Amino acid sequence: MTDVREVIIESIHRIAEENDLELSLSLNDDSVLLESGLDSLGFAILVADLEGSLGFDPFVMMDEPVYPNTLGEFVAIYKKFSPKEAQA
Amino acid sequence: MLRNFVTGKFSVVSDVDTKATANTDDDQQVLGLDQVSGKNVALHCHPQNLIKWVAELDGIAGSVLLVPFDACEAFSKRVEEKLELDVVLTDGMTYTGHWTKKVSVFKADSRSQDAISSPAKRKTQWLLTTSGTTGTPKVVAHTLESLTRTTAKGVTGSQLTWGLLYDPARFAGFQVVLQAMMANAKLVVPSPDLDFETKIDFLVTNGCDALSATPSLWRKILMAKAARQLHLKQVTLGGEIADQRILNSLAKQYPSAAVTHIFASTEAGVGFSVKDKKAGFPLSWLDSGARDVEMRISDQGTLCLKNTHLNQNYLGGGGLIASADGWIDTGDLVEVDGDRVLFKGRLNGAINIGGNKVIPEDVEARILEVPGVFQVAVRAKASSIAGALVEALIVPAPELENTSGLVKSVKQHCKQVLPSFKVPAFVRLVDELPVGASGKIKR
Repeated sequence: MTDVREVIIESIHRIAEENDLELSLSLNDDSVLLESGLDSLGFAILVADLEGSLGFDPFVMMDEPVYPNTLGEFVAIYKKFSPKEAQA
Repeated sequence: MLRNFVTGKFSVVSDVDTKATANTDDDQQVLGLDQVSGKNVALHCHPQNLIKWVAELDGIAGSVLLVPFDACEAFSKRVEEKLELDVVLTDGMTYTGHWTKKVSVFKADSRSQDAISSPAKRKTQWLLTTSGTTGTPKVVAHTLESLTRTTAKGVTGSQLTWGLLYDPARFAGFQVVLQAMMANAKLVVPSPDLDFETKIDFLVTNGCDALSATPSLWRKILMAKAARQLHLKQVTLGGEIADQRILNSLAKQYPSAAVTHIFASTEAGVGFSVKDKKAGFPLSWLDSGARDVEMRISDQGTLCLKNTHLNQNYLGGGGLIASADGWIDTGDLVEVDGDRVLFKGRLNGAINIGGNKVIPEDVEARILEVPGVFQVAVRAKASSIAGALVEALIVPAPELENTSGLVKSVKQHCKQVLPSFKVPAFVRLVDELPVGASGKIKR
């Protein structure tokens, strides 16, 4: 079973590397996304990339999207909308 | 004249003490209002001073070029080639070393007798540049009339405190500035180099209750912790298609705010606003029109507008041409969906990335400069965060044996020759380009 959190972290690192972005040293649940080193475009690319690897985009699935402040909130949103969760 | 508004209740709050000019040379020339009378000046300074000086220079300077805060050397060079500038005015708070023209410190003195007693002798031309500070900047000339045609004037209801997250040297930001001036409002201006969360904190601390941003910028604002502490009465969106989701998110986060999205064809100087918190606009407006604007859909499916109360020949300094009967084709595709008319993108296939325009053919031309690229098609990939992202499909040259480094070469080359938002976010190697029934590349 895919660990959503792992996929997200791997994606963040890969996108930062591909787009010459410098990430802040440690990425944990409290890391503020806007200060993580991932700029606006980088964040948009991340969400598009995750749609490719996870198969869904929660920001399209929500009628009134909430936008995450921290990495923890971001992961929680993906876990919530992950199709596997829906089956549980 | 703008100066009349500045002496009213209009005020500007910033996080820096802009009275203290930093980094000015001792022998740098200082100029006052009298010395720039009738001259073609460029303003390159901190946003707070730009806003104050705009009010001072109106009616005095012949023309004023507003220089974006992040303008680079290429920008200064190109602009000096295109325009006949007499002087560049600064406050010492931004790097002005790129200019070859003389850079002088401006000392606006609003108490000078001349400034108060003499009526506006001239209609100052306001020169603004279009987005993209690298490459050739397009300079558009406006007058105060053309810029404030749709701006509400005078105090309407209680005074709002407008936050400014845009660069006031650019069209969108300048509109917010003029709007605030004419409504005698307070303007809160965080310095452009602050980090984003700090900017939003600054807006909260200073009681910002009105804010204008693109839909993509609003999504970013909603990611900031401090955004949850903003008590907004006015939420304005523009510059990109406002989709129903962002309107819903904003209505939810700011339940007591009026949510307005603006469609504006800046070149044509015509636009309208939608206040019902729904995407697009009502189908009935095709019959009744909106305030001061008539609308219809062209045979190609684009929205055409016509100002009903104004001289239809006025072009606003841009490139759009009104037809003989005054109708302007905005080039924006629309689609009727039930009782709404929805925006669908540009007819010419231009991509809007968070408010920034990307022309696919321009990016394709750059990618073709990379050895090993045989064919390329650049198109929009829908993004729930940025509206759209740039995707490039590349057919490698047949003789290229090893294609493993091609994607990286393409990205690196694009980074060197294009502004960041034009660099393709996704580059894929394909065997052939997708072609539609007409034989044209399917975007």
